[in-house]
Amino acid sequence: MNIGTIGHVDHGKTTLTAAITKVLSSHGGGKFVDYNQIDKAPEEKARGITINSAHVEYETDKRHYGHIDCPGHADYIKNMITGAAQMDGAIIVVSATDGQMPQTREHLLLARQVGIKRLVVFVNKVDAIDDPEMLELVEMEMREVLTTYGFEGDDTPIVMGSALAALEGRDNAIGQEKIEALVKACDDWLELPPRDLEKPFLMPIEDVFSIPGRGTVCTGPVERGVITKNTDVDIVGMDMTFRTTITGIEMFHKELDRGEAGDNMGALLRGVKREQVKRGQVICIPGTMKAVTKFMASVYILTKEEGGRYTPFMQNYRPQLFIRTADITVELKFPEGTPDADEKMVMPGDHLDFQCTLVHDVAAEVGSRFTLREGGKTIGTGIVTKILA
Amino acid sequence: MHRLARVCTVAQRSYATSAPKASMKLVAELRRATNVPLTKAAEALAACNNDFDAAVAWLDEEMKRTGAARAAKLAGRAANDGTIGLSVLSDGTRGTGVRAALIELACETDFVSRGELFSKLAGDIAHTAAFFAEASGPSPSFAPLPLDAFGDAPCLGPDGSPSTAGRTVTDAIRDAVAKVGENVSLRRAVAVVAEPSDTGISLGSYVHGSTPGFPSLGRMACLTMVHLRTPKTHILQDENFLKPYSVLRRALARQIVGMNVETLRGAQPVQEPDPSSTALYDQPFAMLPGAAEGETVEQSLRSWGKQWDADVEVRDFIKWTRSETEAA
Repeated sequence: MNIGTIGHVDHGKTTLTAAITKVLSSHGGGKFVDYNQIDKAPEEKARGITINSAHVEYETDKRHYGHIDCPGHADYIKNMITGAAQMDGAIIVVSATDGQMPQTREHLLLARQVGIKRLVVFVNKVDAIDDPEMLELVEMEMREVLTTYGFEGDDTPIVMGSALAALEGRDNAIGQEKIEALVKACDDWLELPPRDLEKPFLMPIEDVFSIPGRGTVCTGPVERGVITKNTDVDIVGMDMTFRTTITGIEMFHKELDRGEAGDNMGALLRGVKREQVKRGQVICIPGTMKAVTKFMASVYILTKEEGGRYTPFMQNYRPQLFIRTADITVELKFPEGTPDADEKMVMPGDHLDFQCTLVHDVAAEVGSRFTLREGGKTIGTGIVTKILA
Repeated sequence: MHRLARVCTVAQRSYATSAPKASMKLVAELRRATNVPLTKAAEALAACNNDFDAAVAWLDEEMKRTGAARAAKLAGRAANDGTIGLSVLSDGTRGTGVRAALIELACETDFVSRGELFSKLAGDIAHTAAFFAEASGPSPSFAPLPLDAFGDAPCLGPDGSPSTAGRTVTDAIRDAVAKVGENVSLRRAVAVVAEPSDTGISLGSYVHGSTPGFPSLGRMACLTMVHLRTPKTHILQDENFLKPYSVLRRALARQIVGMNVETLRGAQPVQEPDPSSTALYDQPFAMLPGAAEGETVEQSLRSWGKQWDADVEVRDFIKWTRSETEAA
């Protein structure tokens, strides 16, 4: 799973990351990455469309973690929208000497906004504080602010230690042992996102063939889940949603009993005419996907350097929306209640929330990614945040 | 409760040999009231025998004493985030003068620049700049404020009242540095002032990518100075004129921000609008609702003026984007 560190610049995120790799590498879980190696990701990379800082990885007895640093809100949101980086859980780093700060609120808002439900707190630099009551206060304040922003403040693990001590191999009681405690808290408290294979079957339809004597075959890459022959499925989207049965699975012209995520397969559909199915629909387990026409989305508009538009656009702009294999005209509006919505403009480089209305329905859910194109050029990319209709 | 705490510690002190210990309850309260770092709050209360009000005053003194050193320590760090703040106290219509300012306040991350503390400060500084600026010369212009002198101006609060007695803009920035622990600095400030007279100047403004909850702070901002001449002076009091006039000025500001405008006029006046031009007068007027197709901004302004028997001209504009300049 992907885990991110969020915290103030001086509170020791990088030291903590280095300390985690050091302690775990001593248990054989990954490679030690020193402080200066982590921090060398240049600024221009962090400002570009991808943050290339996910090169740190570590492994516990239970899990494999990919590590992401979060240098800023906008940078991270952009990465999330484009799919370049995704945090499944986070470690909030707070220095014991400062306690939570005015921007801790923004750190938690970011975690909330990107859909993180649980996080772990590491209170760093405890060796600089000799009054245990002060540490209690740090913890109390953190629990309070966590609860305020909708996290489980009372149950969130808060680990107190010194990342520097762990990195320098001294004071094991606040150093190495606390890093181990932190990693254990991550293992126990953060929830693993379901793997693609464990999710319900879904395959976007790329192509449709009519095979004389057999029937209609749809081909496409299996996005997630597992399917076996003679299973009921829904065909969803493009204003033609119905239920049928997969009577045959083919790959490389061979008949198979089973297809799974990652496969490129053909599905033979019972009693379906060629005209009933088309590119842009998906085949899925009944009831797991809905065809939607209206949703809220978080969208990033590409700059001209990134190949996007040169000029701003206004509300009611109608580009093409590409989602999986579907290509549908969409109308973009600002969320209801936006002040001066009629004269508000959107410029390349902006990221903002839109209410999207499609001219045909399509299979989509919260977290589905899409791109916006106009005249053969990608002008934006987005992620569905809420289904409206 | 404060008094009670004080009594307790006084009693304690008579037995204690070392400095009194800060009451955690008061530390928490002091943090809520002032946002200062935990250790500072504890230090303040310990130094003042857990007297809450005295601790607040102590912190104020402490900020003045050590704030500069702290700010200097962080000053070397790159501050590539921040916000542009706009304040228009008076836009020049309805017989008023012109008074407005644009400032850029920089910090290191957008976690800070999106926050309330930083946003309020940026708003206050913009307001202060607009309030204290002086007319730059016989004809109004966008005049940069000397940052050193401006730093000594008393920082105004949102309602125009001095936020804390004797607190200057520099003090307010140092306070913010102490609270958010980032390099916060005023990168630039510009103001425009004109006395209420018949100069015919009024302002248009636009802020792009504004901070949620703070419409006058954002990623980009523009102020335009529009000049209007008309024999029918009575329209200057007429709502039926003032409303579309304000739409026009705002459209000009939006055009400048949105359409990559760099200069007012091109080398040669053009007859056909050129969307790739960076000269305002040569572009098609995309941002004015109802502007005729095939007209340049210059032609659109002329036809707009005709309806009111007026002559409208853009005198100057200023457009800023966050972090486009190097730190001073």
